[in-house]
Amino acid sequence: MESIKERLGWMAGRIATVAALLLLWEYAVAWGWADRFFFSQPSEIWRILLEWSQSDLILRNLTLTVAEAAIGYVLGVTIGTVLGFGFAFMPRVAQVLDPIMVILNAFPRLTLAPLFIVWFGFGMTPKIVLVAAFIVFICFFNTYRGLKEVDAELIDRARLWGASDWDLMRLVYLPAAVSWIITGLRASVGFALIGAVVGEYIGGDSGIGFLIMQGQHRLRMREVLAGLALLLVIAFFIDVALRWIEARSTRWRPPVSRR
Amino acid sequence: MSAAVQPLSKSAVHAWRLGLVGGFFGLWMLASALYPTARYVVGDPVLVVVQLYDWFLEGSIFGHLALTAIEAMLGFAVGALGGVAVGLLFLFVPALRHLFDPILAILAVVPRIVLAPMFMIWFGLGIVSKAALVTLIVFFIVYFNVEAGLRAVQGHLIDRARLYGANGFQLVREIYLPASLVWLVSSLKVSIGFAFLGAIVAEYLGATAGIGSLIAFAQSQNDPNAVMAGLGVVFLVVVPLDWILTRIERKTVAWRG
Repeated sequence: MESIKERLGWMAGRIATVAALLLLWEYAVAWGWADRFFFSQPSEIWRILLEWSQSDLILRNLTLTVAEAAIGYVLGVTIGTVLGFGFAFMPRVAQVLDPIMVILNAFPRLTLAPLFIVWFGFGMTPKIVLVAAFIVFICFFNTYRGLKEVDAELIDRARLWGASDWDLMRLVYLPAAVSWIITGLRASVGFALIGAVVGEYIGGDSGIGFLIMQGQHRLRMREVLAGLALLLVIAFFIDVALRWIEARSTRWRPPVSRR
Repeated sequence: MSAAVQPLSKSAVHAWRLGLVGGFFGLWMLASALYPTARYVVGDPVLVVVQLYDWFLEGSIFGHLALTAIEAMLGFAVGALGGVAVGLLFLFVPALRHLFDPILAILAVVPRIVLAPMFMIWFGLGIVSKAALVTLIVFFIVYFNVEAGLRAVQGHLIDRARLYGANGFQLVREIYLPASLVWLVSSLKVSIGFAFLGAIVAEYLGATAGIGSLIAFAQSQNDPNAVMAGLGVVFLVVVPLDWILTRIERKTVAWRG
């Protein structure tokens, strides 16, 4: 294990690296090595962000995007978990529908975005549906696999000690499902963000995806990059939260690789 | 789980599946026959099939298919090479890994697809912007896999190879490269799948040719049948691809248990 001092050192190193890259970018454009039209400039992006925050654009669009991702995520996890339990406890249903789920999962859902917009309009609904369409499958496969891999001996032993169906559900199956949801968290959170942002980008009148789309249509790189910077901020906080959750939930487990 | 339920026979399973898929198309046909709104929103399955037939008969679809495949494979090749190269580089210069790996992990949470508009401003509406996007998508998948794979190479293997007098180059050629290749192959399903997805979505967002642009064009023409047919083509490409890759994955990962 690294010592605290070492870790702080690396952290400082990382911040210095990022700062150096930003400075390089800033001055490469300022001195004319790179074209401002194509690359914009950190200071320019910062000014746009300030401008947006003064007109309340940031908070409004940020909350909207995060809300869409979060609602879609909860919806997707709920449906996915229910489906996972359904398949695990109804083997005949699973037998018939298994390959259909695999095929549906292979289908790129992002290409459905235009359909969802035709069906559900330009508001939050199509984005939420798109997010849920991603999450449902990730959650379904994780839950289903997790439940199937629950040790049969564990079930037998619990039964032997007089556990009822409800006890089994509460003490064995649900915890297994939760641990699988946490395992899939990193992948699924990323997809939730993709669904919301791309949905807004393709058809919407607000949200970070919309800001990016608008910037692109005006051929203003600084606005596109400012939108991406906002996403990066969300990503950073998500990453911190995920590390915390993963560290807490897998404390009992030997360390494994990230993927 | 209740073990009392007998599994269905093979023919019963097939009958059920056929019934469900048939029922789906039946409902779709019925809806489009009865409601003009439905025809406008989801199209008419018969006309969708006619559209598909036209595309394939005229042969106009093959150019689009080839373009999408070229974009996906070009981006895949560059991205995979980059992922392996950076993984190896970080292995031999741990300081770089310490500096950049956490930064890459944060960047990985940002959906790469969102960079499509930026690439379109940089590289235009042609092949390059799509291949660049696919490169980035594949790079992240391959890098994280290869990095994990290289870290999993057991220390005593290296020690023993060193003991037998292997130099750095031999270590790379005989141990690290094969190790990272195995992880590359085992992540093929995800990376190639995403390569095609990235190419198609990028085409949808702005292109003059390719499967994705076909859907975007149909949509701008308010032609739901062509939109559905375009999605059908995506289906015809992606599902067999996924099937093949799943087979490959199963074969290569089998020994890992």
